[in-house]
Amino acid sequence: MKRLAIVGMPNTGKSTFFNRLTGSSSRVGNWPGVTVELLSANIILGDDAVEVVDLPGIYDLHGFSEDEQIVRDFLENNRVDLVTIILNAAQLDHQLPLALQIIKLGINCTVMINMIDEADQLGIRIDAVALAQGLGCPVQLISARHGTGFNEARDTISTALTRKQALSLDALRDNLHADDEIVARADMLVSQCIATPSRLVRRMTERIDRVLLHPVLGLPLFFLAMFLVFQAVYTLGAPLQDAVAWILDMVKVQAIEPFAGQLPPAVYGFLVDGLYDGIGTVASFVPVIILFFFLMAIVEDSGYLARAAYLTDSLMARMGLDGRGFVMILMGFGCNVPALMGTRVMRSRALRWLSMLVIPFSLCSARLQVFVFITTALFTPGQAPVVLFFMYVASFASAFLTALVFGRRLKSDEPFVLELPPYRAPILRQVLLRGWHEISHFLRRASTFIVTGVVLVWILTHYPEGSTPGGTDTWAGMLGEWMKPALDPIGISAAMSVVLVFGFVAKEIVIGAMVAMTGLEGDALTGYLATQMDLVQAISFMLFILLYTPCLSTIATQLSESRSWKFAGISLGWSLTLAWLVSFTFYQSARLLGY
Amino acid sequence: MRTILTYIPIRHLAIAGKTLENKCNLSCLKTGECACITGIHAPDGIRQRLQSMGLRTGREAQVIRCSRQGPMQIRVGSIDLIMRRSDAARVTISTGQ
Repeated sequence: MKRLAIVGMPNTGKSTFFNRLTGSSSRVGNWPGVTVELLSANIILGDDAVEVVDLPGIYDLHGFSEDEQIVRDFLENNRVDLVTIILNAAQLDHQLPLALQIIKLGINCTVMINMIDEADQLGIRIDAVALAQGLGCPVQLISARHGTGFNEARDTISTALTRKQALSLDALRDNLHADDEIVARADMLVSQCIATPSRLVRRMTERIDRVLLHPVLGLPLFFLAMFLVFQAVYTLGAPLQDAVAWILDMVKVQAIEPFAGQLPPAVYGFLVDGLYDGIGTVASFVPVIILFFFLMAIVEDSGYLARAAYLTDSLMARMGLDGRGFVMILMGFGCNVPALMGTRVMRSRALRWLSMLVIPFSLCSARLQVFVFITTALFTPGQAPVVLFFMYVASFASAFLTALVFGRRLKSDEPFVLELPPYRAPILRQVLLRGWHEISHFLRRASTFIVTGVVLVWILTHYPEGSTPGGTDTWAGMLGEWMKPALDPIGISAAMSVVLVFGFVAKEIVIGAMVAMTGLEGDALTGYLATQMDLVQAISFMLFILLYTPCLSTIATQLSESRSWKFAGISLGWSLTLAWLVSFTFYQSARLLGY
Repeated sequence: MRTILTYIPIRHLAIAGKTLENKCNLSCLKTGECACITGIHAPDGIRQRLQSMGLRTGREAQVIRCSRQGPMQIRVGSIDLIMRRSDAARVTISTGQ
């Protein structure tokens, strides 16, 4: 098995190249010396089986940022037969130094000059033969989006792979530590091999930016765009959600009950009432999550996210964060976990940690499903959207408060410099693939949590033997009793406090837990909820759910990203404290006011 | 102290030990204006980062857009960047008239 690593700057179409080269067979895996997961795929090229690894986008090899360190660590610790360097044809002046840095390592290289279509439109002419000579390695002009030159690229790579990699890992390590005079050499090559019009004009992008980055209209348009994304998710998602629930119910009635009915009642209860209903309730929310990730992939691919950072930076600067932080908080409204991982683009630890403290307060889709369920169950159709809106306000307010509290301690001098890519029409295949990666990742993580969580809830609410399911004599009931002194003052009943324990694992299982615990579904569950809490208690409960911690995955991600138990601990402690204080203040003052 | 600071215009603020005069750093340019980059006054890590994003000595930079309080959009060669004014102030320029 040979190994091919793909390297390039951000915004060069590296992932598009990777996806086109490997199809959809890629998987996420761990590598020696590297602390994060990298995308890789096994393919057949010529006569060889090749493992293709997509490394993070980097600006240079010096290792100042985390991504640069990852690329270095990977190259230093893993044998690589060929490095394919992806360069953006429209920015060669800016990108050649990176290529030269890598080639100078003495590693076996090929260079793919991507986005040749865009360079053509801009009037840039590239002499690939001269460039290949100057670089001392094969150069291929391609468009990974449209497939131009891709067959030749495949051939180039497979020929290059047959060359023997002479460099030992030790020699490579030494070479990584010495590189100079590269910029001068790059400038010389650029002037020899690339003819660029004296001033580049991106008419389309500039025309769109004149509206979207307008000093007055820009921000309202941005909020409108985000509103439309969320609106689309729920308008399109709700019918799909009903459809999934309907199908799951049909399967249960038609296929499962006739057979499973013969099982002993305890096993039947566990399998059908516990596992199937619990997972089914959660599964009906999957369409909403899928839609969200597809739409986010479109927004991201189009180049608009960098604009969003530009528009919101002045607001965020006041919180000690920057525009990228705002984009990540926004991503957090889908799922906190990818948003936390997205903070890797920030190089200063203080800025990153502050962003990672704030993100968990974003009202993610998992919490939203709980709120939608509770508000529709307990409030009138007129009240429900207002309550939901109030939750979003509370989410933003807690984020601001957190930034205010911790901003003084986590000050940074991180420069806020971001590349503004030209607008590109998202390509369907690309969006679907990206969306698919996110969703499969999410589902894999979520499904283990969900199954474990649902099974645990069922056991805790049905044992010790002989207790009434979901009653106070079960283990769950005892747990609720034990937490009473803390949760009584914020109006959360013993039964609901058990739900909170499982919400700690994942919010996706909160409703599943209610189903498993009570053995009730649909309207019956709604009725049961109404007996458990009045409106003030319901809001207090939702505030607590919103703030006390997103889920175990979030905590695990905070831990793995910060590599600090102290940070993860402080974040968790702060969320729990804030949640209790906010719920307490709300509940007690509402009661004092006579509600 | 606070009140005094607010009266000092940005162009007189000391950056990396030097007082930069008017028209001498990137943040002083107006929309549409061009200048040649003469240096970056920042600690090593930050300078490296700005350089790797294309802000290198000798290159021409043009201001494409400024928001009133927020970042500026700067074009260097083939690449468009958005950067905060405070970071643009680290980049010294000469207008070379």
